[in-house]
Amino acid sequence: MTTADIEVRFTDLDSANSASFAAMERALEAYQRQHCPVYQRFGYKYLPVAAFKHAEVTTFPPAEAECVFKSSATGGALRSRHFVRRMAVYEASVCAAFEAVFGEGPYKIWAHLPGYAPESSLICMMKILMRKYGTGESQFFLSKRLPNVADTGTPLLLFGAAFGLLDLAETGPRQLPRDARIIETGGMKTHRRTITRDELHARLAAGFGIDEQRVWSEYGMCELMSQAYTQGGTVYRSPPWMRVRIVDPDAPNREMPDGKPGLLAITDLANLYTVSSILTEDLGVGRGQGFEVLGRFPGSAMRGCNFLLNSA
Amino acid sequence: MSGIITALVQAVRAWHAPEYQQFRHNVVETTLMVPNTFTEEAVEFAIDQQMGEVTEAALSAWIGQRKVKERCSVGVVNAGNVPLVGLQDLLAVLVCGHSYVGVLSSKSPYLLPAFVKILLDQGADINAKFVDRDEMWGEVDAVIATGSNEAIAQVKVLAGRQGLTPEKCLFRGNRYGAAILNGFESESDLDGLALDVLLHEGMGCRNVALIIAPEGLEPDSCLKHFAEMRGVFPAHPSTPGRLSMQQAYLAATNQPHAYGDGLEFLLSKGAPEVQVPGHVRWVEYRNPDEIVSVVEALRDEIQCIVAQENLREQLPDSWNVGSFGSTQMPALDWQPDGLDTIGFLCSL
Repeated sequence: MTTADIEVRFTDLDSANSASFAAMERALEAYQRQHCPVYQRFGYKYLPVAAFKHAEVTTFPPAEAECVFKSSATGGALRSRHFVRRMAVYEASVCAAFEAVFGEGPYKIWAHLPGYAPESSLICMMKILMRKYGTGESQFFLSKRLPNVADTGTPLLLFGAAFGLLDLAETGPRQLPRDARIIETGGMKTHRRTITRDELHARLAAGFGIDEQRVWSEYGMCELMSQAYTQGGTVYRSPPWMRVRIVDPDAPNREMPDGKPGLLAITDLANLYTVSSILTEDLGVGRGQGFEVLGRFPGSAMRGCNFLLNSA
Repeated sequence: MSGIITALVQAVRAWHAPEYQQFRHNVVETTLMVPNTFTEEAVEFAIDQQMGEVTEAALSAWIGQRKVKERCSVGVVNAGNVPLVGLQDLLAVLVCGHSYVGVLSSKSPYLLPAFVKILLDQGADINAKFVDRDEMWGEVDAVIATGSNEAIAQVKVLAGRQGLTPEKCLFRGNRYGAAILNGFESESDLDGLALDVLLHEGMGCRNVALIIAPEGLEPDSCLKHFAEMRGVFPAHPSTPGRLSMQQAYLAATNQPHAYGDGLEFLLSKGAPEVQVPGHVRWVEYRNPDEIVSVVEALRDEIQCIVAQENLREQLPDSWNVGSFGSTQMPALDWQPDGLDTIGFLCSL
């Protein structure tokens, strides 16, 4: 199986067919081991996500990238760089994942992403979604004023970073159409404090006048080409070409049983030309076919006293 | 008050009494069989050090003239990634005369109950028990917990559901220690630094995770002392495994680093970013202003700072800088996160 085969077929994967996933995973790992010098030197399966800050993680000359996603950064911290060889692969992944959850639309898509740089993958994703599934009323907005909410019969999807949406809700109250959905894209640490996802959803629902079950979440990052979504509640389902495993932070080759917290280790077959298997700095827990995200868990979190992982 | 102080001191003495030696040995043995990163040497060190702090004078000075407003039941969620780390909270609750309802850490489920057993054997008039986390909420009037921002966010929700107001909750963050070098450290200073960095495998909220050193100073002499320290406190068998992936990652991304022969420690140069336990980050400064800017930027995360005496005088008093080797030997009255546990318990 070649990367060209995988490029064409990865979005056709069926979540019930784990053999096909495993075959593509093996083929990609071998390819990336051979062509990505960083991965070759590393030698383990899951490359720590911070590698994208410190090195050019690619299987091809970085100058040939069609696009470079950059993570947001605070202060002088290094930013991740994700060299995207083919934007068509990104678009295929974004669209197939979206359609599996939302259908083909059309939607009125709004995005409230204050502070996000133009080169962020989230901005790029929103542009694709608006172009493919959005009506003419779709738009980015930065101000504290919502665009015109007049009900035109097209259902509304409001995407936004968690803290930005919360700020918006708290300068409200606001009333979205009852059939609107909010999709928060993470960023649980607000400018003020950290809150749980349950609490965030409850406050967004109250602030925007919609049912809590209509507050959904998206999980993605600069270093990954694919996204997972919740559809009400807190359990994410990833698309069939993106497998999320929960691993022991102390020994990432050891998977945690369902219900036990650990680091999210993600294999994203759409990361064809970089490295597919990434060890994130997010703590999560497996829930059947899905997973929950409990929060950030960088290496430093393993040091200090923290009952989240180790209550008896 | 004096009754409980006497009982606590007697219980501490009993740890060293011949009739409890087999008991203590068994508790340490069973603790080492639990999935954790404790070693026999580190557990024995922690017991001796922490018990050594529990004297009549220290307990009396700790509570001072303060009076408890009202006796109540206090829940303590123990993190326990360092042996006996919850002892200070147990002592604080008991010395204030409150009832103690502890949630044990899965990594250290035997040491605290053993101490309570000895206390009860000595006839101490205390209320102390251990329960599951979910059970605790129905039984307590106040709570003490330590964890990451996300973990504390969860506990705040649970506390709110139980009607516990913020005044009834003492929450501490996830912290680490930092060491500041000037290049004139003595052999004994570096022995102490090795303990600060490597004891308990780099775990604990006082463990030194960042070494802030003058530009151009090479870490060779530190590495020598790290290796010597490992002769006294051997690494836990899981440490090389955890660090091998880290070392491979540093090598793959061309980040400068050094490590012990058996990967029982790892040091890397770079930005002031805290790494996994056992992997210490070496951060360079060009002038004293840069020390201040590095530390102040991380002030909310840093629990304690150590430096040589001459350098201490040049650093801000508010940093409360200690001596090398002191991080894993906290006094009874140290205030994690600068929060006064006794003051909190008296105010309930």
